[in-house]
Amino acid sequence: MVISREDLEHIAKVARIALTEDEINELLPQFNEILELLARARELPLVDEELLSTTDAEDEFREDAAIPFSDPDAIVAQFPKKRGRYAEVPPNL
Amino acid sequence: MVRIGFEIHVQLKTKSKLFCTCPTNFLDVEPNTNVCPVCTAQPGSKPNGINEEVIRKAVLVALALNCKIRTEPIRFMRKHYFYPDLPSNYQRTSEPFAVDGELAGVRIREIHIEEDPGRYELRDGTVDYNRSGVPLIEIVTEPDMTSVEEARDFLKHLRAVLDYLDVILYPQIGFRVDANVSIEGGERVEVKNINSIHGVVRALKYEIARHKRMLAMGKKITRETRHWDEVRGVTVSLREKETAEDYRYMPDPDIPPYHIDPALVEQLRAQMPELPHQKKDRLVSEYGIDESAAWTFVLDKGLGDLFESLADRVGVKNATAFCLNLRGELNYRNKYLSDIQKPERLESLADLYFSGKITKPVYVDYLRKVLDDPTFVPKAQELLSEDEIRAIAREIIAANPDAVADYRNGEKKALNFLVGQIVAKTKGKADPKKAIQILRGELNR
Amino acid sequence: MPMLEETLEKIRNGEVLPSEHLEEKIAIFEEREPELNAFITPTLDQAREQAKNIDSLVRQEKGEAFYGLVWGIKDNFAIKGVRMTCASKMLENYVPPYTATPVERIFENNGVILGKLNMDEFACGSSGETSYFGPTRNARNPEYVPGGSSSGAGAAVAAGIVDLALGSDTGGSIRNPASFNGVVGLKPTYGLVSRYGLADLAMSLDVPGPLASDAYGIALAMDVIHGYDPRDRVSAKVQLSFLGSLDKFDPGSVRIGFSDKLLDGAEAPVVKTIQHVLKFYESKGVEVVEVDLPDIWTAFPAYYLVMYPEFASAMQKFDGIKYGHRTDAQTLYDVVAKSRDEGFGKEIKRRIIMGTFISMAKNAEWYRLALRARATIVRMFKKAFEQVDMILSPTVPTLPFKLGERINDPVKMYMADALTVPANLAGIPAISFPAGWYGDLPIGAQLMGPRYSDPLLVSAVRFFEKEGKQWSE
Ligand SMILES: [Mg+2]
Ligand SMILES: [Zn+2]
Repeated sequence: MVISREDLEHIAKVARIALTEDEINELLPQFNEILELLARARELPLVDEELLSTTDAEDEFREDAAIPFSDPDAIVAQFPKKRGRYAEVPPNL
Repeated sequence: MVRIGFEIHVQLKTKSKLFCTCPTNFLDVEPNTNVCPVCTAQPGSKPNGINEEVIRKAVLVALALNCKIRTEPIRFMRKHYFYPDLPSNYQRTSEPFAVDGELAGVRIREIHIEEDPGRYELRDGTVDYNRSGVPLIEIVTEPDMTSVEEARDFLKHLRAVLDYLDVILYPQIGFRVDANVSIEGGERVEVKNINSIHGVVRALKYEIARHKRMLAMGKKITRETRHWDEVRGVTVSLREKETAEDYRYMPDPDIPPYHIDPALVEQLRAQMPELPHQKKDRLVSEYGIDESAAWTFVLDKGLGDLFESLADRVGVKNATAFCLNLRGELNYRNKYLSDIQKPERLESLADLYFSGKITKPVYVDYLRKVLDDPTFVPKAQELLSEDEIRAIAREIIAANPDAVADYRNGEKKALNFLVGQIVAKTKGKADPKKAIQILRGELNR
Repeated sequence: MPMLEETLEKIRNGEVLPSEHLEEKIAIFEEREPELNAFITPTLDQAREQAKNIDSLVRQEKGEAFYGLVWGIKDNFAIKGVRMTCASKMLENYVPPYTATPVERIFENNGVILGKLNMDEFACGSSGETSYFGPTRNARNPEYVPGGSSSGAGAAVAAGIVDLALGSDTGGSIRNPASFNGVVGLKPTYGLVSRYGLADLAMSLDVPGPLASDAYGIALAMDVIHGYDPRDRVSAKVQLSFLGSLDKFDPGSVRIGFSDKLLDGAEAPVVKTIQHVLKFYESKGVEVVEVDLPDIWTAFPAYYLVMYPEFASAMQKFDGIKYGHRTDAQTLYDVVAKSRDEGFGKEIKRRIIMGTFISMAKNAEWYRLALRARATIVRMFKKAFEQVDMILSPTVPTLPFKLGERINDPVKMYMADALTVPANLAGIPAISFPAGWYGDLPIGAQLMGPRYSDPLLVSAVRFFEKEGKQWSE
């Protein structure tokens, strides 16, 4: 067992996913199976270098020009709940 | 012993945001208008290139704070936490690009670049993303300050440097401060979300007193994060849930590491404007004013500039007196000169006063009006003629026989009283010097 | 099905109008779509409008590259004003305010867009079964899965509903459905095609790419969609010519690498197909070189260790506040957690939780392990490509499987990706092409090459199409 039931509950909280009891029961053995499989990488002869990405892009900076987006209203239109032009969430008192 | 350290967030003055081309003037537009797919984290959007002006301004600040600029590749990290004002629920924050600086005796540990979140109004439950993606630098000091006074002094110096470099997006907002405080025998407490130097002073005083009280009661001070409540003037503990958050830092795969070109650093070093301590030295040697007055002037960039302009016009002595007086009035209001609208009104005020076109009481009254009423414009008053003053002086003499008798018996104070009566009666329209002359003449007749 | 070149030629010389061509495609759509479920959001009206405009352009000989050829777009690319669901309940009603760069280029070149294609939810899957809008079916045999995650793309191209499809590939999502449906699919070099407007899966692995019935279609599509885009910072400043080199495959100057290790665990028809393809190239004068790929199976754990944390990070943005599914609740925490719980399917939650776990501070060792494994793969390929120009392998070690067969066994499902993920980890191009048939089930072969050898890979497939024959049993 790589992760325990308590671990899983904590991770789900950090990930903001409200898992049901049934989901936990189903997911827990799957996680451990996957993690045990992935743990195999530990036994492999790996090079001593950590590679993050494979891009050839140059780190060019962008000129500081303000170009407003053409359709901010289309962004506002997507707010699931809104008040005027604001996105609305529960207040935090 | 008290130990204080700061993390200071400064919004940089640029036209566009850090990773997109949205304008940065979030204070001046309707909610959610300076927004685009990038700064609202629409699915599929990607950060555009890093804004070049952010790098320039950030390096300029780092140089002014005597930091070493790192030339190795610098990565943008993702700092994950769920909060409504953070559209992607992670903040892009770079590794330090500058380290090991110093200002006013306080060591600067590091400076890095990050993006500002939007604005979540906790009480209303509303979110506005106009500010989301505005470039910030975060300046992190060592805990080198040992009193509230030292802390205030450091922040004033920092503020002056930033003003001289002209890098603050909205000078009226200034910067945001997270303060670390510890006193001997207790753990370090972080106070977040302080929005002004005045607020820092209040928060630190509150927090130090709280620590002392706790220790005196035999309680422990544990490591925690607290929130400064500006309205109530207290710090409040944040729930443990939030302090225990695991940010799961990860290099942002969408942003290749950036390099700061040493040639750019040299170019910026050469362009560095005069800094506060340099200006202080110059004012002392050029105008012969004392060190402490010079510091007072240069720590408020506008005031230093005003002093120089006035010194040429009304003389060093008058300019010094005027600016010190002005500083006092500004302190009383917790303001910088740059907070005052149409500051050229102050120059006309000094001209009026020192050319004798207004009297001292009128000057005192006008100065306050200029500071408090943006529409007020100081004008030369119509001073009374000598005959008019004489007529009023006679009235006053007739109405105050006791004071007149005292004067004639050699009591000097009585004269001041009578002059005061004239000034009051004429509502400041009489030049006090002339009033004294005329009054003496009348009394001695 | 007529070859794509012939279709294009007929439109160019005025024999068939773009609108007429579109109506032919719509007829096939009406016939096959009820069974295949390849589309999430068809856009027939917009397509007809577009085709009408292109009719007049073609008359003025201004058809650009596509002259009204019909495209399907995987539903994880943004098109302004057209719903983008990523096959998730989370985005069931999401309408993007902007258009993805590759789609913009398709529009500019007069590709007619027939609709948004079905896929695995947020591109997480290898079978096309995790879509909130129901599974897609294999175009060659509807009892079988179409592969994933570009399931609708594979099926729609194979069924002839569209000429070309835009997919995305993070660990095989273009090549796997190409293989299962018997079409060609290219995963380009990382950074060669802009990701701007492609919903994230794992950002250091994601790349958009085309699916087509043949190599010509891939070349035609790639010439349009690839190239530098300042809006995507990993985009490379590289310009290649695909059509220009399409027929320039010179077998005498090419070395193909092969290793028996690549057939470990492969099903017999797959092994036979690959051996057949190898023999074909050899018979035409290609030098076949035995290469040592000692770390090829390292790619599998490395892929999942890299992908999970990047995916978890990418999925943070879905919180029911700015867009997407919202479950209302009293507290902020509950709004976010409940919206996510209701909005995401099982595999998504599985991956987010795995990724969250791996990226937690105390598990940093796991993530570093992944990055070292990744570096190992890159070095292995680098060494191999000093000896050879391409490496041949199966695309998927197994034949297509039946719907529902593996959906509850994530480990088995993940294994299908073992031979496609190495190319993503190394950022190299890889193409899957139809090379064999086991009854009515297609078998794909995969060619991988060094970075920017994409045109060579496409020309090698073209050469096989013209000179070779598919294996069958
Ligand atoms: Mg910060
Ligand atoms: Zn923006």
